Amino acid sequence: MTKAPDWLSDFQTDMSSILAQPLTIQSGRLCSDPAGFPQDSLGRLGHQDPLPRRLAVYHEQRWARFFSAMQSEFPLFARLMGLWHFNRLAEAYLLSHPPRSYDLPQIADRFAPYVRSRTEMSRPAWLEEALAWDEAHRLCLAAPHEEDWQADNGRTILQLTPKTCLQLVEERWSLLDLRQRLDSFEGDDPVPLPAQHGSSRGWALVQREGRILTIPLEPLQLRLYRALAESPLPDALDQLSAEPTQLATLEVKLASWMQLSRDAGFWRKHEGHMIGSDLKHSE
Amino acid sequence: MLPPLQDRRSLGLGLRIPHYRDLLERDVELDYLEIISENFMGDAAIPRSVLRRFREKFPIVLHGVGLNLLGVDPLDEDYLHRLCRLADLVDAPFVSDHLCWTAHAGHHHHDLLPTPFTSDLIGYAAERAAFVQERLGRPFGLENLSSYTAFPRSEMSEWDFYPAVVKAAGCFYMLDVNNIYVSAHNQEFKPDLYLDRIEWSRVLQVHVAGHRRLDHGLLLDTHDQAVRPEVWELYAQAWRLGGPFPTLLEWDDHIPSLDLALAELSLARSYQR
Repeated sequence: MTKAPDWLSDFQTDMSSILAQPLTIQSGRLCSDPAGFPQDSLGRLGHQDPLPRRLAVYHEQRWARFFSAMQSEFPLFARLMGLWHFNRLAEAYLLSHPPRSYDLPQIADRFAPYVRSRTEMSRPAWLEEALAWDEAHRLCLAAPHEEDWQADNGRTILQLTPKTCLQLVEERWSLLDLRQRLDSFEGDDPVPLPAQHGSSRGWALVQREGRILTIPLEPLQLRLYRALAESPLPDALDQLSAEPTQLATLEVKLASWMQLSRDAGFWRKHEGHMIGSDLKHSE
Repeated sequence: MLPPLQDRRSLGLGLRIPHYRDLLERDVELDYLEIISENFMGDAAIPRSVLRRFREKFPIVLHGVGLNLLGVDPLDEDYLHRLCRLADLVDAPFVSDHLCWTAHAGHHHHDLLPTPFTSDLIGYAAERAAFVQERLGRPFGLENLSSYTAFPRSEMSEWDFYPAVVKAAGCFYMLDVNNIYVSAHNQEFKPDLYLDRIEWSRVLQVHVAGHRRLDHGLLLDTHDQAVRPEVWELYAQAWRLGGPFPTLLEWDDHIPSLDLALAELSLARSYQR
């Protein structure tokens, strides 16, 4: 391939350095300030008016697209936080994690760990939960197709393998419901936090027939699936049956919970281990 | 020279999520869909499943925003592989992207960025476009940008540069008349100059879309409202010069109901005169 003209790299370096500048706050909004552009880069591009003012259009457009994408990827977190504060956080995140993929939603891939690493940032439990909900939706949606596990009667279960799309979420505020109603709230202000549940609820997110299913789970059922994702069935059951009341519940519901997980496609086709349908807990 | 789309009077719509259900469940008068390539190039199962359902109902063409044709960085091999795979999957009549750069030194701006127009850039751009078309094994169209500035380094006009790249590459035009209108307003040139330079037999498709006027007078290519009457008039002028050609409506923000979008698209017929 022919080499690019020598000037092109310098040009793109200079324009990139301008576009990557943070926005400034003017009259209570984030906007581009050409006076803050790197003067040496601007000088090489052509610093006479109207070029700086017009580069500001690209500068604002770039950030607006980023904010919009980040809000789409973390809608619950963004709306509970309020868009002004969220955009400031997203800007700080993107300045430290510049986008490196052609796929726009991937700009948010490291956002959740980034937020969790910000030890100085105040994060109430409901905001942590909102982050977990958004992250779960992203991971479920981005998962590739995987074949369902098919039970092979008569064999002993060693280990179930969760599909990449399976996301298990513990909910203390009614955030899934809120997530589905976000479009009804207008403006940039934080949306009202729903009331806290009396006790926590569990949810499974899983891909099925081209869409995301959200399946309500009992707390023990949620713990069962989490344990099964990590441990062979006997070990998982041992972990859960420490308390007599739970043991009784498990004995009654285990078969139906396993059936549900199989029917909904929680587990992927397993290679290398023998898997069977003997689901009874052996004492 | 021009295999796609077979009916040159076809009307198409850019596929957007708010229209998914209506497009799949209703009988609509629509000749084809255009998808944003990058939205379907990943390995995620759900977008692929959705795409298969649309493909059963409509021809699909691909329109990219991330090729980085005028970038200094090498063309992204993984990107090209996935683009070819997607084009094969939907048997796209053609694929298009923009005559612009979008990334530099591995950092993606996710914006369609201009360059100065110089004679030494023509061969570089054309070689890369020809390479992409060869890899795709199907017609590849280059779209003109909406632009908000010009650079002192430019040696020629956009309406000289763009046709020169298309001709040298042996590829095609994906002509956006709204972009011509927006750029002409922002840079104070006559859009007729632009249309006069187009080799119409190489136009794969024409885009129409809405734009917005900023406080300081510049026009911004927003795709968030109906096509402005003055853009439709420019479209009519293009049709007189080079029609028929497939026409596609882009509407990306404040997206109306499918019925309203289709009504807007059907306005094209009244300007095909």
